[in-house]
Amino acid sequence: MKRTVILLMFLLVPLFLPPVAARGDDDTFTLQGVVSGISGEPVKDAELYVYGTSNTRRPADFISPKTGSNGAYRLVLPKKVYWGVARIKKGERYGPLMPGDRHSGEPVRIDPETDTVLTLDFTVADMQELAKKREKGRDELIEISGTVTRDGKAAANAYVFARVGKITATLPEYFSGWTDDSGIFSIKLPPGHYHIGCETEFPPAVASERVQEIDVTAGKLPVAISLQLPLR
Amino acid sequence: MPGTWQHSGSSLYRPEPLFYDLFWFLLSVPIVYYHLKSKPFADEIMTIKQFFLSTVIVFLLLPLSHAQALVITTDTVWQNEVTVTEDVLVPTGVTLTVRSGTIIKVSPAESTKTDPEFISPLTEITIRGRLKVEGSIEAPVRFLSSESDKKAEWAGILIDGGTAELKNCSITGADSALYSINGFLNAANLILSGNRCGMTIIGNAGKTGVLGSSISSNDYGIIILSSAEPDLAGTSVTGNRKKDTWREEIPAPPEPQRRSDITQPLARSYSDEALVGDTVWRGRIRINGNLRIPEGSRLLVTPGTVIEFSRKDTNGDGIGENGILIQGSIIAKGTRQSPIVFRSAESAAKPGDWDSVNLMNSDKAENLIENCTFEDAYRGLHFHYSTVKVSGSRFSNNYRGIQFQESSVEIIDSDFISNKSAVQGRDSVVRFINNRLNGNHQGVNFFRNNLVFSGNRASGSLKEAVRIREGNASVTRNVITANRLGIMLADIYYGSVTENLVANSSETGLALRNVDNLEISGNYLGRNGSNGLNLQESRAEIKGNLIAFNAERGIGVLSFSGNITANNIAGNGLYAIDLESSEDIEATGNWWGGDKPSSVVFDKLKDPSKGRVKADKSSDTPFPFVWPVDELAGKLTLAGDVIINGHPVVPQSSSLTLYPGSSIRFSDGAGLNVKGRLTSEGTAEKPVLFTSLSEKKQGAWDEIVLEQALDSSFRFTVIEYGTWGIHGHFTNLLLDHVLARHNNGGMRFRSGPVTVRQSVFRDNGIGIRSYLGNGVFEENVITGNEVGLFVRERGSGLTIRKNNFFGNTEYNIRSGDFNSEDIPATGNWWGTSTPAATIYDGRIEQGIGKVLFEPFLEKPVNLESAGVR
Repeated sequence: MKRTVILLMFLLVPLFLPPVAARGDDDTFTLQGVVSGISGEPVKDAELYVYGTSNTRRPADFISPKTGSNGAYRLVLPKKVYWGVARIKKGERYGPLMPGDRHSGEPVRIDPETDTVLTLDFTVADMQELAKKREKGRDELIEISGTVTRDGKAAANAYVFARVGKITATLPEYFSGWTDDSGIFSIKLPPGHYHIGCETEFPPAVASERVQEIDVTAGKLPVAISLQLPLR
Repeated sequence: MPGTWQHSGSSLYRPEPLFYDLFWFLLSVPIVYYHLKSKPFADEIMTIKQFFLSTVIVFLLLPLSHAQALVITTDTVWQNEVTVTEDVLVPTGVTLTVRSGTIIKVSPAESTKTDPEFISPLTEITIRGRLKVEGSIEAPVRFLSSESDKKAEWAGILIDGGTAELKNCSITGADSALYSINGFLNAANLILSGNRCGMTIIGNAGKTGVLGSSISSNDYGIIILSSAEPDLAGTSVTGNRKKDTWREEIPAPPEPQRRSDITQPLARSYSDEALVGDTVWRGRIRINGNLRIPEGSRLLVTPGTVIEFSRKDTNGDGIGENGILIQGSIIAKGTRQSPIVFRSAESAAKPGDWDSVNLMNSDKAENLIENCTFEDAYRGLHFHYSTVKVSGSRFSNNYRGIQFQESSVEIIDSDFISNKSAVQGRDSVVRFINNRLNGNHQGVNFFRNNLVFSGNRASGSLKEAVRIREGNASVTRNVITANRLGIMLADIYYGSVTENLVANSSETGLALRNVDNLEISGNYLGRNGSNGLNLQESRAEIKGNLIAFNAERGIGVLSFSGNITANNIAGNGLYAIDLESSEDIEATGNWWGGDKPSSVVFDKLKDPSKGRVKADKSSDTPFPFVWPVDELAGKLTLAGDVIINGHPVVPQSSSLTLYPGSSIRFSDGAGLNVKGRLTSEGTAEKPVLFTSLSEKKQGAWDEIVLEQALDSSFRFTVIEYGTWGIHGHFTNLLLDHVLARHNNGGMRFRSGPVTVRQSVFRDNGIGIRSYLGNGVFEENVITGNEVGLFVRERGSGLTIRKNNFFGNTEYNIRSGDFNSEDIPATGNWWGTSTPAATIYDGRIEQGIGKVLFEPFLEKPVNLESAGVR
């Protein structure tokens, strides 16, 4: 009888214990999500680098398999707080980002808390493109350039001015810097229609002659502007 | 502002600051009430006065629990316990007294603070007035970090031209416990320990006396960045981790040129007012207040205008308040011949006499600042949300030259001299190109910008020359020499540091901290005082650099992920790479200066607690290194295989040393222009080689021009395939064991004096050409040239003896048409018993000098060891 009870206990007790696999699941969680580009399209070949500390300038503790065309990634991780960065990187997994390489920027904190599945999406971008985009977004002035000449030769110590209207009773609204020996000037203007001319004295004579009309349109630059100073 | 911070209690317990203030405020209410009630209320005005006075009294009694970004404007006392949470500044004319037994706890905070009057990014106590610390043996004063025992948690006590008297005092946890910039420090019985540096002394104008004190257990005991001689009688400076005393003289900047000769009468004076519409300035303008250019209005400044600001300091913080605020726009168009000057109106001008030319929201048109000079300002130019181009301008003797944020900025071809801080900018798009920074306390400091930093020169900075945090940066082709620290990049995610010269820093050349996706290539990182390159929490590709002759380490690694490959790492004092972390790093495929990697790398092999530097596949030969800039400025040493394009200059006061075994290969038509000193230090076993990069023919490259390059020398050096190998002008020059071959000319010189010995001139068009020269030629072999020695003019200045002249196809010596003087050349061997047949002189052409070759040697001189084997 006693042996039967012991045997039953061996057989029954495990039924009341949580399964081993389930206990293991409590110690892990699934991190999943989609890596997309800045316009929202899922990106292929991205990897999620996961770090146990916020220091992400070291080899990652976990790296996801590369995403497919749906941009999805999935990783099963021991349950704790991580920091993650998504990257698309050709060649070595370090060093400078090459054209086409993309990165998600600041590391993202990954805290599963009580979740067994945590969904986090990442957006990757070409850092250089982003920087250029930011530059364009901020800069409403359009830079145009050309050459100032006198007697057919590049003129140093001259500058270009631009007027919005034809009225010459007031000083021009816009000025370039002085030219150097190359005679090359650049002037920043908002989009619009301008009368531009060049001078060597500042401020310019109120009624400057030899003005040229140009249209400045965002994304479309006037080509090869050449301005001539009066003959000596 | 309370005038006195006094604790009446003795407890060290510190309540939460807000609670503590609230407690004192509540306490103040009945005191004010009692005070008001005890006085007669004569009338309403009296009541207000009474209330005001009473409130002041109460606040005088308030013991501040914490100091925040504070300028102390009246004499102040600290006692018991004081917590400093942000910077404290004691301006000129104010005394801060610290009573015995006081504990000053300073909160660590690395900030991006923007106020130019402060010096460190860490919390600091800055003294421009007077600090009096009255510790006693029984009750010393203690300055310490409020949070931990770590070093460099706070900046320290910064004596910036002020006076500090300290007795019985300890300072710990600071970056530099005491940091004196031309300050007057008189101290006794100090304990300076547990700091990054015990004491830093900068400049020669102040005076330092620290008696009977202990400076130990810091990283550095005393750093002296000047020729100052502190009085340290009875003070022990021992047991500091890296160095006890470190002296380095950072070159002083040139004295800024001031336009003190401007005497023209005043054209206009302004006080507090606004200028509406277009205003054109000419002549001399005086600003006695705050001038405003409203939105839609413009200020146009013509060449030669001088704008002077009188000094007005109503709050006693040492900073002048008069300035210009531009909400419209400014076009300041000076010329090189007639610059525009913005300066102090005071006869004894000093930094901070006036505020700034401020621009706010000025982005409708580009503001132009061309050929302008800004002197003695708090901030020369200061702008937010603006579009500004600065070119050809000079900023000197300001607290800060330029400060900006959220702007689009071009700063080109401008000078920054002797400012406390040259440039600070954040959150902007910045092009900083071809500028020169000299003798600023802090060079440039960029935070979160989209930055192009190119073609600049920076020297003499007493902190970092270049500090870049966050954002992205392209740092290329800059010359950063003789600063305390060269370049520091931190917390950036994208960028490159390529083709820069970073040398002669007192400490580290290039430091990377917490950076990612970075390219470090083609840089010369050499002869820095500690390490060439520091890596901390960084991911990068470090490729194709020349990291040489740094006093301690080529590369110091705290933590790094990436690859270090195809670099030339040679001649560094302690180690080529010193790995401090326990993680392995990749450093395969480098040239280690001819050493085995195991002998020059510090890693697991020497300390099992460290990681391994994977340095296999090392190269037996150096990787070609293209010299990146058009200068060889500073005190440089080259090793390996260096390719030179163009005609880089070794400037005056610079020196270039070529390490044994190094080769310099010139591209077509390239050459070297030496105005400093060139030392080519080959050995018999490892000669130095100057040769052509591509074609092996005469004249493939230009020449090495030595222009007053005093004390230059070539030893065990081969010079081949040049136009003229060596071309000396007014240079005392030594050639010893030189082999000059296959050049159009081996050497030509004017004046000298030159000494040429044990050298070989072979297979050149002309071996040596002398013009008005003074020279000694002794024990040389001159053979196979068309003309061995050509004396153009004044041959009497030459001494020619014990040489073997033979086999030169036209003449051993040719006297030039303008040489009317005889050439002394006795005691040489001429390869024949009839030397005259090998000489063109006055014997052939009347009127020119003769070569006095008799007596001559019948046999050749034994010169087997001459030249280079």
